[in-house]
Amino acid sequence: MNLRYALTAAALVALAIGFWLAAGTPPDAVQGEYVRIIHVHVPSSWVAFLAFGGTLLGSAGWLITKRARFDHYAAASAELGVFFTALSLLTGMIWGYVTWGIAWDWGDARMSSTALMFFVYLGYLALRRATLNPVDRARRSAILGIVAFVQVPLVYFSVVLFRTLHQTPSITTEGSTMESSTLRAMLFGLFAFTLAYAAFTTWRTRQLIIEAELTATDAEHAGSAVTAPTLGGRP
Amino acid sequence: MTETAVWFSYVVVYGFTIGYLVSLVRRDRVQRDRAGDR
Repeated sequence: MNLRYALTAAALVALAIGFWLAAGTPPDAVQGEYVRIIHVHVPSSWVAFLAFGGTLLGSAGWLITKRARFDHYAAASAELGVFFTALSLLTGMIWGYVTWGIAWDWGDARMSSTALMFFVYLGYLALRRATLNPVDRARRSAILGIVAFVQVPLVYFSVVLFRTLHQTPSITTEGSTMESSTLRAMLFGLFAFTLAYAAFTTWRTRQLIIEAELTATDAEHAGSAVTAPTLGGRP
Repeated sequence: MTETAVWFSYVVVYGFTIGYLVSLVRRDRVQRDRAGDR
C-alpha cells in the first residue's frame, strides 16, 4: 500500500471516529443540539486556512526554485481551500439561521471577510485557467497566492478586531470555555480533517503533475499547428 | 428543525468530503490508464 492509499484510509477512519465522538457529545445549555454543527463548521474553516497556507508555501516555493511541483501543490491546495471555505460558509449559515435567526449579515466582519476570501481564491483558480503558458501561469498565480494569504489572519482575527455578530474564539492561550467532551471531539475533528487535507493534496498534486505531462506530450505530438491563438500578444 | 439542521450540516460536509476524496482516487485510476495508453 503506497502513501496515498494509506493516508486516504487513515483519513476515512479518522473522519468516522470524529463523527462518532461528535455524536456522543452532550447538548449545549444555550444552543441545545445545534452546538454539534461546530464539529463540521470549525474543521472546515481550519482546513480552508491550512490549504491557503499551503498555497502560500507552494507559491513561494515556485518563485524561489521554479520547480513545477510547487506550482501544482499550490493549485491543488487552493482548490481544497475554496472547497472547504464553501463548506464553512454553508454550515455557518445553517448555524446562524437556527441560533441567531438570520443566515447572513453583511455587517458581520467574519462572514463578510470569509466571503471576500472565498471570491479572491475563486479568482486565483480562474487566473490559472485563463493563462495558457505554464510559466506565466505559475508566476502570476504565485504572486496572487502570496498576496491573497494576507486575508487569512484578517479573517481569523476579524472577530477580535471588530465586535460584530460572530462569537470570539472559544479556545485561547488562556484555555477553553468549552465543555471537555465537546472540546475533545472538536480537536479530534481538526486532526481528522487535517489528515483528509493531506490525502486530498497528495492525490490532487499528483494528478496535476500527470495532467501537465500529458498536455506537454499532446502538444509535442500535435506540433505547432494547433497552438492556441495568442490574440496578438507574446506567445 | 433542530435535528434537520444538524443532520443536513453533517451530510453536506461528510458527504462532499468523502465523495470528493473517492472521486480523486477513481480519477487517478482513469488518468493512469490514459498515461499507460501513450
